[in-house]
Order: sequence, then C-alpha cells, then structure tokens
Amino acid sequence: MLKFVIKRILVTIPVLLGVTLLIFTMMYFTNGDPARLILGDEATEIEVEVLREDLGLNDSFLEQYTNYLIGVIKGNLGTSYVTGIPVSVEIMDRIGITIRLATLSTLFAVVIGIPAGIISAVKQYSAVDNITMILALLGITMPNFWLALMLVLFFSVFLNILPASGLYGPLYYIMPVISISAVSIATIARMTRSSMLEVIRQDYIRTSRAKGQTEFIIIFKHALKNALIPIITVIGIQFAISLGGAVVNEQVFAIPGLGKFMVDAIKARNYPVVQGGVLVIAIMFSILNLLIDLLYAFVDPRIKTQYQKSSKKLKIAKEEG
Amino acid sequence: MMKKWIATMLSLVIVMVLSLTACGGKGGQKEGQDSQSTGTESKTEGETRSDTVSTPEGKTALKFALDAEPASLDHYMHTKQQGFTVGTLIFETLIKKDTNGEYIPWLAKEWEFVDDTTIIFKLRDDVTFHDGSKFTAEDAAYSLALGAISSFSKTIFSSIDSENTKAIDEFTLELKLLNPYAPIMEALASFRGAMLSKNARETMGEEAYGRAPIATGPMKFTEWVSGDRIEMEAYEGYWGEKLAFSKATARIIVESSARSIELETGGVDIAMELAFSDWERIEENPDTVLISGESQSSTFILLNNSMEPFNDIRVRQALAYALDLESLVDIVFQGQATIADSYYIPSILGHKTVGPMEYNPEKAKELLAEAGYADGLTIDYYTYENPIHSPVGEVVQSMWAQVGVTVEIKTVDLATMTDMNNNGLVSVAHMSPTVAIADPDAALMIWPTWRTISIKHNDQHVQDLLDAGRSTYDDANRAEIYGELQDYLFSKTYNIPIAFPKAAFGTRGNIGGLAFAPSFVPDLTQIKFQ
Repeated sequence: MLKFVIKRILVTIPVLLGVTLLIFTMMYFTNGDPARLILGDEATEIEVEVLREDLGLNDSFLEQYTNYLIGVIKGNLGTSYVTGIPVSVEIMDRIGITIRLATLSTLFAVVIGIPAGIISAVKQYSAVDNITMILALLGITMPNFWLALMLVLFFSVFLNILPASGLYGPLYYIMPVISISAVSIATIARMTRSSMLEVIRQDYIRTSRAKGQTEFIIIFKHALKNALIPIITVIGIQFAISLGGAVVNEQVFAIPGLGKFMVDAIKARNYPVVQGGVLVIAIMFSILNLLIDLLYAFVDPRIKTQYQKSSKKLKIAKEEG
Repeated sequence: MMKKWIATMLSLVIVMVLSLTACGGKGGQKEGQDSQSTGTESKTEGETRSDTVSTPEGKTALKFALDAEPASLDHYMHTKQQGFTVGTLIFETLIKKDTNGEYIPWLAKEWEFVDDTTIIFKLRDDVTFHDGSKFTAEDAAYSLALGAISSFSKTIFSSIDSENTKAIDEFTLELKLLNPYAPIMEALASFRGAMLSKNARETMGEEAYGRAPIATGPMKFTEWVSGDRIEMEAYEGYWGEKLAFSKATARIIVESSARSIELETGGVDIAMELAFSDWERIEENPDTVLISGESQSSTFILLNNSMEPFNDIRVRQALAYALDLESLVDIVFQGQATIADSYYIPSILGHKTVGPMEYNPEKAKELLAEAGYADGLTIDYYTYENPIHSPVGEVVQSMWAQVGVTVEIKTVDLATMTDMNNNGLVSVAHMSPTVAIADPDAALMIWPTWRTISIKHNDQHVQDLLDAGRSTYDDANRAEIYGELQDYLFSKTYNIPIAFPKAAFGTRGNIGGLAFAPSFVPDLTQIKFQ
C-alpha cells in the first residue's frame, strides 16, 4: 500500500512538469503584452520596452521557462506583475477560502445527494422518486449565476435575512455553499440512484431479503457499499470542480477565492500568478485523485488487492482459485 | 471493515452538521422567524452588517463598495480611479478646489506665481504623516518630481521640472516648470497631485508603500485583504477637522448587481459605478439615493487614420454621416447620455459645439462612391466584452450596413485589444478613455502625436494647437485655441464623437455631504451622517 502511494506521488512529478510546460506555452503564445497592460495606454513605447526587459519578457521562450522552473524548484513562484507581492503569498491568502468553500459545498452535497439518491432508487417510480429526479434535473440545468442571483434576491433583498456578499462570518457561507453545491447535489443524487438501482437487482440482495435481513441493513450495508465506487468518483470530480471552478459564485458573492483570482490574472496577463495558480490547483487535483484512489481501496477489497504486491496477489488468486 | 466505513460516514455527517451549525445555525432558525426579530439578531451577530442598519447617531464606520481592486494605493503606481477613491481618505493635496471652482489652501497655506514657470508654495507647519514624522517641503518636492517621471501621471505632470523643483526651507517649496503649463493648478488640486512621504516610500520600497501607504490624510491605512477589502481608521494626529467616521472599509465587489444589492440591503453605505440597469431601482428605493451627473469622459469611434480606407477623409465622413447618433445613444446608454457635440464635455474650459454630424445616409453613399467604394466596403470593428462597447458595435454594424459598409465585428479580450491598440493595429473601435482632470489638455489627451494608440493622425497642426493651449495661462485666450482645435478636428473627422455618458453612484439615505464627481473620484472626506 505504502509503495503504491509513493509510486503515485512520484508519478505526479512529470504530470506537474507537463502542466507547467503547457500553461507556460499557452500564456507565451497568447496575445497581449503584460508590460503595456501594467503601464496603460499613456505610456510611451520606450517605457513599455524598459518594463518588458525588467520582467524578462524579452528573453527567449526556453530561457523564460527554465528560469521559471528553477524558481519553482527553489520554492519561488515569482512575484505578481500587478501588485509586486510574491505569488505564493497571494495564493495562500485565497486558497484557504477556496478549500473551505469547496469542502463545505461537497459535504453538503454528499449529505443531501446520497440520501436523496438512495430514496429515489428504493422507491423507484414513486412520487418521491419523480420529484427528486425533476429537482436533480433542475439542479444540473439551472445556470449557476442565475441560481446565485435568485438566492440573493430572495434571502437578501426580499427577506433580508442573509448578507448579500462577502465572507465575514458563518451566515455568509449559506448562500455560496447552496449555490456551489446545487450541481453537485444533483449529480450525486442521480449517480447514487442509478448505481443503487443496478445493485439492488442483484441476486445477493434477493438472498439477504430471503434470509429475512432488515431492509435498512440490506440497503445501507449490502447495497450502498457496492454502489459506492461510481458515487465516490463523482464526488471527487465535483470537489475538484469546485476548487477551481467556482468563479461565477465568487463573482456574485464577492468572495476572494482562487478561481476569480486566476481569471483576473489571465485577463491582466499576469503570467506568474496564472502559472502559480495552475500549478497549485494541479497539485491539489493530484492529491485529490490519490485520496480518491485510496478511498476506492478502502471501500472495495477487490481494488485493494490490486495495490498490493504481485506475489501477494498471486497468493490470493491461488487461494480463491 | 464495515464498522469502520459506517464510522467514517457518520463522522462525515457530524462534521457537516457541525460546520453547518457553526456557519449558519442561527440562519437556519431565522428563516422561520419574523423579520423583526431577525433584524435585531443580525445586529448583535454580524458586526460587518449590522452597524449600517443602526441609527446614525451611533454610526462611526463607513463602508463603500468599489467595482474593481486597485493594484496599489500609490497614485504614481497606477491610474485606477478605485485606488484614487480610497486614496482621498489617506492622502492630501497641496491645494483643493471649492464648490465655486476656486483654488483654496490645504497643505499649502499660500502660493505665488513668481513667473510663468515658477510657483512658490508656503506649507502648513502642523502637518504630520501617519507614522508621526513631519510633512515638509522635502516631501512635497519629492512627490511632485515623482509625478513628473512616473509613467502613470506624466500626461498631467510632465511639465514639472523634476530636477529643479526643491525645498527652499523646511516649509517652503519652489515648483519649477519646464514650460508654461496652464493646467498645473487643476492638476495639483486633483487627487493625482497628492503628497507622499518621502522617507516611508524610500524605506519601504514603492510597491510595499503602495500596499500600505503612509500619508497625511484624516484616515490611516490599517489592512488590505487581497481581493476583499481595504480598511482604514482615523489618524489621531490629524491636523485638520475630524471626519464624521472613525473607521472606513472599502469592499471590492466587482459584479455590479451585487454592488447595488449590497447598497439596497444596507451592507454598504456607498456603491460606486452603478450599471445603467440598476439606476432606477436605487432611485425608487426610499432607503437609497442615486447621485448621478455628467462624467468627465466622452466616447468616440476610433478610426485608424493611417490605415486604408480610413486615410481617405471621404470615407471617414461617410461613416460619420451614416450614423444615427440619436438612436445609437438612446439604445446603448438607455437615455443616460447626451450626444457628443464636440471632443470633450461642455463643463470643461473652451468647449465649443462643433457637431454632431447630421444623419444623412444618402450623402454617405455619395461620398463612398466618390472615394471609389460604390460597390460597398468591408471593415473590421474591434471590441471586447463590455456592456457599452459590445452593443455599440452591433448598432454601428446595422447602421453602416445601410450605406453598403459591411462591418465584421472582431471580439477580442481587453488585453489583446490594449496590445493591438497600442501597436496601431485596431482599425475601428468604440472607446471611452477616462479623463484624468477637468482640463481641456487632459480631456484631449488622445490627440498628441506621440500617443501610441491606433488613431494615428500624425497631424502636426493638432499637436501645435495642443502645445499652444497648454502653455497659455489666460483662460479666454486658451478657450479660443481649443475652440479652433475642435473646429479643426471636426473638419478632419479623424474620429467620430459619440456620447457624453452620465455616471452614478448610490448612497444610503443617511449619507450626506457627498457630491457627484465627474472624475468618478468623489471626495469621501465630505461625508456627514444624517
């Protein structure tokens, strides 16, 4: 198991290298001159040229990339072109908020989505099932910014019980969490339902019913556990999406998260910030993927055996065979 | 194994429930309660939210919402009006302009023009910086010299002789100009001429100083939460009258609807830069006040005069004749703008009504035929996603189509647009540059021949008139020069003036004393709670 984890961590190194190369190349070939954007329309050509030289933008692609890589290896992500603050400091300022929001939203989605999916599956074609699935469909199709604005209109403007924007206390989290998790809840509920439906038709479920096992244990112990793999996958994906993709919500609720930060940086051609941000998100994705894989093993013993040594695997195969 | 799994699931649920109760347990209860009790509850709970709802007597904090985050608060490091707005609380200028348009003493007690290029300022001797050190002529000389060389302010201060502007004694400043420069007093009275601390800026470094400035204003900087807010508190050692508030917070709320909702719900006291679509709601709401007026900037359609076919005056004029400006301004600005009758707004010195060009599609067709485009013409129009520029493109496209001009709209992002514009590659675009100070020289700042933007008229006569205007101190003579320039520009149709848009910000009903600022930088120190 430990060997598997170490191997996976080593594998992320080329992945991260690839990510930096890709994002560096993309930014390098994008139109727009950071020096001109910093200095504005009123600056003369000479001033822009001097700043370009200062920022190292006149170096060749290879030079720029190697310099950047050397910096990253030394733990230096560069400084923001716009504010002059180290990129790592700026990212640290925002990553906490992003992780907190993503975690809360995903937990909320799991707590609502999985039970909803289970109920739908168990009571297939009932009114509850139909309503849940219609709501889930709504959740997936409803544009995120629209839902966010409607929440604000209803709870802040109309009822005036929740603050409209910012993140200055517990109350402030309610609307962003609901808004970010809407799609996740729907996706998780739908995945839980279809996965559960597949499982509860299987023979072993019928067997346990026949032997008189209580329905609760059948559903939660026997069925859900076997239905969990695709659900975990979906939860992982949704969590990952909310880490970098909550831009719209961050905009509507004026939350200083990582997503909006990166979009602003792209607009300003603030290369160090874009590269640093993408790198950090890539690292988070890798860790998340690893955690999900480990969770698979935890849930499903069959997968766990794959992670173990091949000799051990052989032994198990022999025993089974 | 199974037990472990159930335990994990359970703990997940518990974490969720706990975080929910931590985050919003009271919110959950509240939804079921009547609005009165929630009102009081939110007062005791969310301090950021409550005090704006409370009575004005106890009000000591001002919260205002900006539409973008400035990169720096040092006005020689950026040109964002959002940074200037915050800056009006922290920094101060040598002189100010009162409501009658007269220049009044501020950090400078008195001043005297020795000759056309020399001004002597006597400074107050009781002014200290937020770090306790004294404000001296040395700081003033440093600030003005910086203004002259910074690429962010040199359009206004380039006439200052940065080497010979110096402190004569501790509180006497000699300001030297390289050449006579009529807008100098206007520039010094605007926020762009605010004073910095030489010692603090030099020891901290310009970037760090811009993120935590030390100056002489009534409020001192306390905290900047990147992407979220900038906080200030009253400076105890302030030389002048204390402000009506002892704490101020500038929140960054980029989304314009979110900004106006925060204002309506009392989350902020002032919301800057309201979108046209929100004006009516703010005006009708009994709790909020809309403060609107004519902004300093004007919009125009840029034509690249060094590019085919716009180097032909007949084509430029045809394009102008083909525009029904009345409909265009009505559609795009939703009635919140007037048709531009010249190259800058009427309230700035020397404005002369020279247009607008009449709407005459027949004449446009004739001129195009004369220029050799009887069979039509295809041009590229550049724009980026913007609530004003995008619709202007669509309207212009349909209007020009009627005289046989096919417009291909190229939507790029702002960074690409800026780059192309400054490399002379934009053919046609709608633009609305911000005018730094209420002076014709600044209002005409797209016209100098050295500018890198795509207008590329290369007309020395324009430059000569601009030079003459900026070096003439007598207002009547100056106005004459600019009148001639406006006539000349109109006769050449180097661009097509479109609109003088209005702008607005909203305040809560209990905010008084705040006047509309055409520069978009209202003087927040004037606020009184009612």
